[in-house]
Amino acid sequence: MNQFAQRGMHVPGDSKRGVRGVLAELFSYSEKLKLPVAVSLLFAVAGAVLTIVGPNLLSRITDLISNSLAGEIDLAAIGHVGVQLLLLYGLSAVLTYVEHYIMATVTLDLARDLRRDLSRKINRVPMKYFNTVSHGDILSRVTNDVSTLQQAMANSLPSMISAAAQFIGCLVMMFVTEWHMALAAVAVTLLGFLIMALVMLRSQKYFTARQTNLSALNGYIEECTPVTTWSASPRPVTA
Amino acid sequence: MVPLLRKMERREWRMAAVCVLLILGQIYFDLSLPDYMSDLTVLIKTLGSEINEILYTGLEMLGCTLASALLCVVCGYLTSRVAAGFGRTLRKSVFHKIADFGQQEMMAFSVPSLINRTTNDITQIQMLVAMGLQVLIKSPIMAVWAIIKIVNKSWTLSAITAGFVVALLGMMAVIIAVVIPRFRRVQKLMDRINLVARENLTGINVVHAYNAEDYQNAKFEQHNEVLMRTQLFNQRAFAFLMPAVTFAMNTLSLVIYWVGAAIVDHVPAADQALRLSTFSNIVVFGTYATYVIMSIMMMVMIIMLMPAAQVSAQRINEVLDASASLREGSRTEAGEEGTVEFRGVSFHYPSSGKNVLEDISFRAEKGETVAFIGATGSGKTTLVSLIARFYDATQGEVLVDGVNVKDYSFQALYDRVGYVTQKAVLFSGDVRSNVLFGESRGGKTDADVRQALELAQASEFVDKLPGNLDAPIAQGGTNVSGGQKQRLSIARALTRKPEILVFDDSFSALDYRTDAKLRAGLERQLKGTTRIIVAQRIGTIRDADRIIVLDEGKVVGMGTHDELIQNCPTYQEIARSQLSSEELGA
Repeated sequence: MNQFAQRGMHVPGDSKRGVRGVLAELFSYSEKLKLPVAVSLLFAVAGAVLTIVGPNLLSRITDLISNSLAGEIDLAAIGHVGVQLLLLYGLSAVLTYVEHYIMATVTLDLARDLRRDLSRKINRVPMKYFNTVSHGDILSRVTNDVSTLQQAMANSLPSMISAAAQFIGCLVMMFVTEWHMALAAVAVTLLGFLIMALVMLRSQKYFTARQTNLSALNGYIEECTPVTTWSASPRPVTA
Repeated sequence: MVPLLRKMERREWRMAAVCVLLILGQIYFDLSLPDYMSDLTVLIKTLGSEINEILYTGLEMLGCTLASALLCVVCGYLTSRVAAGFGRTLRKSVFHKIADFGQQEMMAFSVPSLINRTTNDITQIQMLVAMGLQVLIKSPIMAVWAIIKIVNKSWTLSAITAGFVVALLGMMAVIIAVVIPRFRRVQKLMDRINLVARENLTGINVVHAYNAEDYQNAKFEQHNEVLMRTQLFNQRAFAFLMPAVTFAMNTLSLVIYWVGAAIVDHVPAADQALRLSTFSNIVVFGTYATYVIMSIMMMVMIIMLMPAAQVSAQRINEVLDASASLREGSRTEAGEEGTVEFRGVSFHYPSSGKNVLEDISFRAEKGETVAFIGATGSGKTTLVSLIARFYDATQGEVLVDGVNVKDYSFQALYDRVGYVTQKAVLFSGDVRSNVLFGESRGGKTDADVRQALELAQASEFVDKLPGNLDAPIAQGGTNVSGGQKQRLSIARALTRKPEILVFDDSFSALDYRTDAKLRAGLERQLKGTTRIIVAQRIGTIRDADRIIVLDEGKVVGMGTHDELIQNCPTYQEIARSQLSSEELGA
């Protein structure tokens, strides 16, 4: 345990609320988050679904070619499908771009609001609070932690949703195409998932520990940097 | 970025080298899969294939995938170790470099910027190394390998693929060129936000007392807005990248099949075998081309991290390359003991040309008490800070124990000089850790601590604190009063058992009685220690062996209290403002 926890100072523990709880808090914190996030996640889903339909159309082309290996290949029909696919891909790209754009704007707005409210809270909180926390810890939250949150929301959240959509869509398409193969694929993927879930569960506590240590490090460095200019001893004993 | 990488320890380089080998292995296995696929396609289409052949091919593919996955896991483990180790090495170098910094460098960089550089910036680089090592090595190799495999199959299609790749790279280059300068700005803005927030925290008493909360909030929000706008531009520019790459990848696949159909059509319908092999070639081509684009996509993800990391690397290099302007010497021994001498010393701060001190000369012998007095701004603090070598004199020499302070190693100098600052600084910890702060020649036992506290007149309150020597001190010493802070600060200097003690206006927070008791105690117990005292109160310095009066950086009087009362107008003025006429007469 770092020295701050030993002194009974306030140190972030594992969140009892979990990811969903934190998200719920964020949404109640900022009402104007809800609509844009919903819209952009919808776009993410739509973009993902469109990419799924793609291979289906593509297979039509391969069918057209392989079925007419013996004779003339119907290039006009292929062209027709090709144009459809182009439109599909184009639409998907546009939707994804808009989704990224919206999420970037919304999460940066959120980050700005969070920082502003943190700064205001610092000026409102009773003085004795500052006896129990280090300045570096608070500053780290204002800069590092808000940054991490913003990046996670802008990148990880939409990826998660669109990947989930792609997953479901692909699954459906697979079963529709050939359900025997689909079952085999699902079985193998589930195995992969299981391993991934195990790893993630065990690694979460390390992420929290890392952020905590980063805060503690921040606090220590913050204390030591003025030392060299004032103290009688130039070099603090490094931990 | 590259010079920074040279700092990686040998152990980490070795792991990285192993990673490269593992990655080559991965690529070999990954890229053999499409070949197997094409074998399978041919087998399926050819009538009369045995089911065993198909199964066997499938099993080989499975083997390849498992091998690749295993190599990937090991590689991932090694990569994390390399990144974390690298981060630790960097942090150590930067921290040690900062410990060597003097006032000048601190002010040039600003403390919050240095903090950010030690934590935030290094974390960025660490992330880049962790994620980037695998990808940055894998992608180009994979792309090149895939290209080699497909180039022979069809010139037309290769040309098309090349066209796509060039277009993609061009777009990436444009976006990065636009974004890098803004990333640098973002880091600077982060620094500024840190600075404003930090000021707010350290000065929270003042903020509340002067009802300046709104003012502070407005200051913060202004910087916050600018930060947000810059980040918005960056992220919106980047939003463009991913969809564009995905679009390119899908369209390339489409175009390959489209054009491929035309190519297959060109082959005469009679030659079925050739048609089949051409078709299977097209399919393989399509898969490999996808690999090429996928590699580029992976590189794009890392390139997104690059600008931020590049800027961070530059900021860290700035710290590491900054040479401390105060170079320590190497002397550790001296001829005399406990002497301080100034010979014709003049000083001006680096930023201004005007002399703050002018032609100061005096000498303090071992065991003497020399006091400095003068109006505010007369240069007293600057003078004594030259003894502790916070700055170097711009003219003349400062000698401690007969040796120029520039010639000493810092350790040797600070073993001899115990400096008590004007503003007492305490650190989070307990009483003991504060009093025993730093390296010195003095003892480190509790008895030594108690002795110092006793002498500094601090025992009376420390004994009342819960835990005595273990009583907690908050960051900045905010849970003790100003006078208590100063006494602990004095105790801290006393434990070092130096030959020379410098008190920079350190008695000002003490009441007259404590002030007198302390000085009496020092006179009794530390007779052999030279004492340099800067003060505002005549009462504090009255009994000094020699008093030096400063006015606007020049010496206007030197002598005992009685001599100066007779001869020095400046001293008389100060005395008259503080003492009553009877005290003056006595």
